[in-house]
Parts: sequence; structure tokens; C-alpha cells
Amino acid sequence: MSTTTVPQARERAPLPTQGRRIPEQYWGYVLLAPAVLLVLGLILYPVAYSFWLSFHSKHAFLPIETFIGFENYIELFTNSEDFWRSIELGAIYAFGSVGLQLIVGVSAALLLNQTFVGRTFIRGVTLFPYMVPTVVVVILFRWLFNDAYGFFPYALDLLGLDRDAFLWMEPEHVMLTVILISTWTFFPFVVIGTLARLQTIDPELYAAAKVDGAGVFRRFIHVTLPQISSVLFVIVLLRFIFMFTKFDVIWLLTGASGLGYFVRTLPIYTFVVTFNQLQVGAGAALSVIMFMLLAGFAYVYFKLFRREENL
Amino acid sequence: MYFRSTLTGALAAASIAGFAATASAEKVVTIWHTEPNPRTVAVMKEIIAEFEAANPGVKISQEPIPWGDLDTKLQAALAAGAPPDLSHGQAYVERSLSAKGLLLPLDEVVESIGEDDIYDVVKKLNYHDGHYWGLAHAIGTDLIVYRKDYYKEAGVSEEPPKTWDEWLDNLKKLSAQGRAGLSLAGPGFFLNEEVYMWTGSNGGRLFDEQGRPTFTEKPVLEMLEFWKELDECCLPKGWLSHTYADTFANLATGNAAEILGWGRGAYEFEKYAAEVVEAGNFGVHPAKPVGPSGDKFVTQLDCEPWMLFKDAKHPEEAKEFLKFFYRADNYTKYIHTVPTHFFPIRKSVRQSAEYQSHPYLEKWAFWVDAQENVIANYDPKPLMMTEWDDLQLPFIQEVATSGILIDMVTDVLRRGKDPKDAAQRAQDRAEKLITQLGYKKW
Repeated sequence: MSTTTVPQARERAPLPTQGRRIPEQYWGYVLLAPAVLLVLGLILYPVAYSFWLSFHSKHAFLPIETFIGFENYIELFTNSEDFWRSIELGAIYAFGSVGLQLIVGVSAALLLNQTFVGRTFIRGVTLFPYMVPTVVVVILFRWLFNDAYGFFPYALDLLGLDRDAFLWMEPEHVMLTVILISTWTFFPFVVIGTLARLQTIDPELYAAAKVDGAGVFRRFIHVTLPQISSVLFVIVLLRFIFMFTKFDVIWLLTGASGLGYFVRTLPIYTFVVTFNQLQVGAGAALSVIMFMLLAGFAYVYFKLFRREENL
Repeated sequence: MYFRSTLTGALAAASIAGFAATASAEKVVTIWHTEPNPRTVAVMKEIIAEFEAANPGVKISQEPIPWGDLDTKLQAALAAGAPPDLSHGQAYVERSLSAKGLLLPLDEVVESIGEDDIYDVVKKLNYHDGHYWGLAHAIGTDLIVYRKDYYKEAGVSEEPPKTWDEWLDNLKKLSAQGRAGLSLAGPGFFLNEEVYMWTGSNGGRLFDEQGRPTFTEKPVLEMLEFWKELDECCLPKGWLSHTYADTFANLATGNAAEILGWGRGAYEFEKYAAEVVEAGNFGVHPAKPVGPSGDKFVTQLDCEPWMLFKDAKHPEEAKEFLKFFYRADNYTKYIHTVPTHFFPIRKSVRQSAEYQSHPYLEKWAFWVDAQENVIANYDPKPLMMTEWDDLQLPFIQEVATSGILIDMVTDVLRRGKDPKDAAQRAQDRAEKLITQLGYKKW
């Protein structure tokens, strides 16, 4: 008779440690610590430092700072025409360019979702503006809009119209010009998101709508739009944040020129105060206000439009 | 496993050691300058290569930056605590930074050239508190450049206009020929130039003895009125968006009859309007008109100094490079990249046969001579200085880059504001800025 030996559970060999072992329940925290430190260092610290600076009067490159409490904020809210104007211009720019990006982007995505010869190529070309460096885009459009040798004024000539009647780079039109350039550059972002969602819509929904007699417009309103609304919810939020804080397109196009006044949005004004007028404290207060405005916008936006399926 | 980790460790150690060796072997001196034209950049490259060959272990990294961008870029770099070792800048930048203790003196460089070999106008720019805090790389001056053929066509005399009224009359006649009488550049840097030159030419100044802005005084208001009239009659409609290069293009291609230009334009004309150059149709007025309240004109002395920063990583090497740069052979080579614009700061170079042998100095003698005449006889001033005393004000940089003067001009020209209201707004903003910066003395 053979005897069966029940295998004994092997005792776990102790981990080689020097000194005291970290109790097992804390390992999670230890492993998370680097990521938390990274977030604290790279995100929270600059934000907190900005808050702290905003309560000081500080020259940009002198190591002198004086605590002045809320004075920077009080000054901005009560005594700064430029500040209020920058918010107004920033809102016009952000709403204008996001609105146009949505219209152009969704339209392009709908077209690119159809079947036609060369679709893959056209899809690639559509993404092109988003891949071109902003500085190249701006130089390109400066040439196109130049009233002396630009293509657009020349096109007006060809059409027999007065080229001086509409100058793209004059104060009354420069905001529109900046919005159009931004739309051209960033609408592919909308296309990518929307097209990806369009491709996952069940074709049977359209078939059913057709059976019910829905035309193209009604199919868009009752099938497509509800299906892409969750994507659009995120796109609008992100694009608004991106455009409200947009600096490069506007600065490269108008910079510190005479036209700058007419497109001096909040980020541009913040830059001017911080780096041209060298008032870091006031600049920090402006950046804090920008942060608050965007947080407020996001809160209201979520309250108004969030639905479970959007998340 | 053991082999792999050993290999990885060895590679990492070798990379770190290699990087450390490279880092310790090379001292990189960063220099920013305002001469991005390819000829100057190429010659700077040559000078740098020769310097590096003579000074093993030192590397010079040059970064050409357009004039209009330098102030902002420099201020951002200083704010970030990362300035270059050496940089060009405006005279007011030197005064502002040295007043804040952010520069190192360049006495050794001046000494290596020989103080007596430097023109007095250059020395007085950056000498204060017993030291040279900067040294101009070259000088030049801004004048009215015009098309002789268009003058003839419009029946305008080539005699320089003496007053703003005469100038306006001429420009109106020139504009009647279907082109702009005058082309101006729209970037803020150039608007600041016009503001101070025209205010100075109208008997005014931008700041009083205490440093208080004087924007609401008569000379400034008249300057704004003049500009408004000029804008209505004689400037291209979209001029606010025109770059400085556009103004040269406008003159060369027949879109304008006059510009306010620097000698470097000769190269643009050679390149893009050779037939106009050949026909001898470019002219330069050797003087500028004065406003109704003025009796002498103010024009700009181009005199950007090299500055050495207190936070420079390698200040000694930077000084050595400047000494090498100003050495007669290197300096002549540099000046010859734009001889119609760069006047040497060294008397010996100016008088040398080598310098004078450049063909452009003969071909464009009318432009070179006109500048020389103005520098010698009409006391041109650095940017933003209507009086030499203004150099003492440590906040001109902040006011110049704040956009306050630019907004004052566009308030009148494009927002339809009354010059008095626009000037008052600018005055209030400037006073507030100077007060916030802690420089108020009135």
C-alpha cells in the first residue's frame, strides 16, 4: 500500500529586505506616489504659484515682490477698460471660431462618410491644416491677405470688385480674419472626432428612417445628430477651452502691431501685461481669472448639456 | 539576464560620462543679434568659426532675431531667468537693464579697441556711472527715401520738404497719381519710432525732467493730428498690417512714392527693382521736415548696443568674443555685409582703404553721404529719446513695449477718437504703469 503524501503548502520565502518591510497594504500608495508627485509638481504647483503671485506686486525680472492682497484683482475689475475688452474679444473669438469649426467640421465629416472615389486621399488632405505648424499657417495667410500682393485682394480685382472695399488686415475685419484662419487650422479636429462616431452608427437606423419617409434633412436631425451629440459635447468643450486660451495664431498674425488692439483677447492681454509691461503679479491675476472663467464655463456647460450617455 | 543588465548599466554610464565630458569640454556662449539677413549671418558664422578655432573649448551659438521681436523675446527670457550671454538691444533697453543691475560692463572690450578710436556719439550712448554698459555694433540713421520718377510725374520738387505742411502738399500730389504718397510699417516697434521722431520734430518730448509722460501736450496732439491727415490722404489703406519689408516692396514696385527707410533697403532694391536702380530713380532726402511747433527735426540714430548679461553663463568668453568681433579685419567684414546701413563705430575702420573699397559705398554714395551728414550735423537720437537726457529714464523700455503709444495712435487713426482723448488715455495708462513699476518721481 502506498502512502499518499498531501503536498504541504509551500511557505512563502521572505522578501529580501533591509530594515523594516513596508506593510503590504501601503504598497499601492508607494507605487502611486511617483505619479502623484508628478501631478503635484507639474500641474498643481504652477497653478498654486500663479495664485500666490497674483497677490503680489512683482516686476518680471527683478527679485522684488510686495504682498498687496487682492489689489491686482480689484484694479482689474474696477479700473481696467483693457481687461473687460479682452474678455469681450476673447469670447467673440472663442464662440466665433468654435461655431465655424463645428459647422465646417461636421459638414466635412458627413461628406467624408459618404462613399466616393478618392475618399481615402481626401480624408488625408482634410487633416492637412491641422498638421501644418501654426507659424507656417500664419505666414501663408499673411501673404494671401496682403493688400498689395495677396491672392485674395487680387481675386477681388479679377471679379471686378474694389480691393480696398474689404481689407482683411484692417481693424474692422481683423477679428474675422483671425477667426477664419483659426477655423481653417482647427476644423480637422472636429472632423476626426465626428467621422469616427459617424462610422459606428448602425445603418439600420437610417434604413428605418427612410422607411418612415424621412428625407436627408430629417435623417440628419433625428438620426445623425442624436448619435453624434455625445462626441460633439466633448469636442465643443475642448475646442472652447483651446480657443479661449489660444495665443499663437493671434499673436503671430498681429503681435504688438497697431492691429493688436483689435484682437487683444485675454491670453494676449495676459502676455502683454506680464512680458511687455513686466507686471508679473497683474499677469498672474489675469491667468487666475482666465482659469476661473473656464472652470465656470465648464460647470455651466455640464449643467446645461450633460446627459448620462454623453459620458 | 546578468549580461543584459550589465550591458545596460555600462551603456548608461558611458552615455552619462560622454555627456558630462562634452558638457565640461565646451563652453557655449549664446548671442542674439538683430541682423537676420543671410549675408550678415554668413559672415558672423565665419567670424565665429575663426574664434572657435582660436579658442578650443568655446562654442558660440548665434541667434538672429528681427528688430521688432527682440524686446519682447529678451524680456521674456529675462523674466524666465534665462537670458543669452550677449545680445543686441535698443539703447533704452541697456539703460533699463543696467539700472536694474542686470548687465555687466564692457570696459575691457572698449579698452581693446582703444577708447579714442570710437566715435563720441557711440561712447555717449552707453557710458554712465563710470562704465561702458553696452557698445553699438554699428550706427546708421533713418531718412526719407523716394522715387525720383514719381516725383517728376507728380511735379514735386526734389528739394527736401522743410515743414509738415510742405510734406503733406507733396504727398497729396504724389497720392493723386494712383499710388500711396508714403508707405509706413505697421508693427508697434515702427509706430513707436514715428511717435517719438515726429513729436521731437514738433518741438516736443515724451517725458519731462521728472520722467512724467507729456502725451497731452501740444506737440504730441499736433503730431496725432498730422498723422490723421497723413492717414486720410496719403498712406496705403492697409498700412497697419504692412511689415517693414513691405514698405520697401511698395516703393520698389510702384505702390508708394516714399518711405521712411534705412540704408539696408539698397539691397532690397538691387534685388527686386534693379531697373529702377539702374535708371537712378531712387533718391534720399538729407533732412526731414519739422512740425508747426518745432524748429529742428529729430530722426533716429540706429545704435543697437551689444549687452553682456549679469546672468551670462560665460561672461569672460563672451567678452573675448566681442574683442575678436571688433578686431579691424573681422569688423570690416561684418560692416561690409550691409555697408549702406552699418557705419563703423571705429574711426580707424571708417578711414581704412579696406572699408572704403566696398563698391556699394560708391554706388549708393548719395544714401551713405546723406546719413553721414545727418549723423554729423543733425544730432539724431536713439529710439524713443527726443532728448539725450531721456536716456536717464529707467522705464522707457516698459513704456515702449507696453503698447500704450501704439494704442494712442490707433485710437486716433482707427477708432475715431479725438487726439485729446486718445492722448489723455495714453497719459493715464503710462502714469499708472510708471507708478506701478515704482519709478514715479513727480
